[in-house]
Amino acid sequence: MTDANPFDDLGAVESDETDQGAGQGASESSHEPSVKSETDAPPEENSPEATQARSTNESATSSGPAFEYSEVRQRPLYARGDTWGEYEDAVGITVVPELRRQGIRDEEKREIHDAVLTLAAEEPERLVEIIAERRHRS
Amino acid sequence: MVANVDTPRAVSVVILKGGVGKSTISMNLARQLTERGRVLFADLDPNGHATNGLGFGDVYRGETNLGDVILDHGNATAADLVQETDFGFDLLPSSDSLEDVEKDLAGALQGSARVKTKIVDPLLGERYDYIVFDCPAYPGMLNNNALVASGNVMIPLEPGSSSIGGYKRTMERLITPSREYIDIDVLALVPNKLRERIDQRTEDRELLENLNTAEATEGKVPNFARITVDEFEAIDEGEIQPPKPGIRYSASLSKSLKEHQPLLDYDPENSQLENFEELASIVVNGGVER
Repeated sequence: MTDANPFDDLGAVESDETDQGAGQGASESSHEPSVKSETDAPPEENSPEATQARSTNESATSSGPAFEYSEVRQRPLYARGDTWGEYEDAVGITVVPELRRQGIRDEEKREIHDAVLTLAAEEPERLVEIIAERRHRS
Repeated sequence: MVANVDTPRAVSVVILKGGVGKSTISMNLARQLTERGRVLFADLDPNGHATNGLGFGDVYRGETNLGDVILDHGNATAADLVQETDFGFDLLPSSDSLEDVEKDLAGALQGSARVKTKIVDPLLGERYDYIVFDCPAYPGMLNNNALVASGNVMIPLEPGSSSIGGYKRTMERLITPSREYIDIDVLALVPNKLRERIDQRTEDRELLENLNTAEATEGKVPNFARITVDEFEAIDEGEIQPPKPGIRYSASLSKSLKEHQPLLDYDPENSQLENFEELASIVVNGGVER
C-alpha cells in the first residue's frame, strides 16, 4: 500500500466541521481521521508542513496540466495485457503518489501517456534491449 | 409493485478493470430493484456505456453535467440532471465532460464527499429507496465519490487472471484506503461472463473455486455461484451433474443494451434474470443470505 490515501480529503474537512450531522456515515467518519491522522497523514492544524503542502497543492492545481486537449494526438497503443497491468500498477503505486507528494493533484491520463512516450524516446537503446530480450525468450 | 422498504440503500458496482460487465450488471440490478422500491441509477463512468445504452446519447453530450450539481461553481440541481426512463427507474446520466468534473473534484475541498452531500443525502430515503452507481474502471475522484456516497459495493469478476488483478487493485486502492474514513461493506462478489465447464480445469472453475473456498470471500458469493467444497468433490467424482453457476455469457445481455433496454424488458423469459433478482435481494438484505 502507498501512504498517500486517496480519501484524505475527507479527513481534512470533517475534523473542522464536526457539527455537520448529515448521515451516519458522516458522523462515523468524523471520529476516525483524528486518530489516523497521527500515524498516516500530517495533522491538519498546527502543522507548518501541512499548510505548506496545502498551498503547494493549490498552486499546482491552478496551474493545470502541461497541455490542453487541442495539443493532443490520439494514437492506438498495442500492449500485452500483463504489461498494461504492470504499467497501471506502476502509475498507481509510484507515479501518482509521488506526484501528490510534489503537490501535483490533477495529473491526466494523456499527460502520463505523453511522459511514457517521452521516456521511450529518450532511451531508445533500452527499447531495443527489451524487444530483443523478449524475442530470444520466446 | 412497490413493496415496503425498511432500509434505503445505495450500492456501487465497482472494479478497477474494464469490460467485466459493470454497466450491464448495475443497470440490470437497478431495473430489478424497481420491483421493490424507487430507484435512481447513477452512471458515473465517463464512457457513459449505460447512459448511451439506455438511449440518452443526447443528454450524454448535453450542456448540463454532474459538475453543475456538485461543484462549487455549480448552479444546477439534481432535478435538472436526472432523467426519467421507460423502465421504472430514474437515470443520473454520465456526460462526455465527466473527466473534467473529475479533475475539478480533485481540487475541491472534501471532493470525495460531493456526490454524497449533494445528491445521495438529500435524495436517498426521500425521493429514492435505492441508488445504484455504475463506476469508472480506473481509480479517481468519481470512484471515490461513489464509494463514499454508497458505503456498499458489489464487485463483478470474470474468469481469467486479469480479473483477479482488477479485484486486488480494487481492494488495495479503493476499498482498503476508504475504510480509514468510512465503513464500506462488500455486499457481493459477482462472477460474470461464465461459459465454460466446471468439471474440468477451466478458468471458470478456477475463479469459482477460489471465491468459494477462501474464507474471506465465500460469504460474499451469491447463491447462484455458490459451490461448496463437498459439491466440487462430488462434481469431480461424477456423482452430480455439474451446475451452470454465475451470470452466464449471454448474447441477449449485450443485445438488450444495443436495443436500449434492460434484460427484463428485452427478454422477460431469460434464464439469467433470476441471478439479477438475487443481486437485488442482496442489496435489499444488505448481504448474501444462504
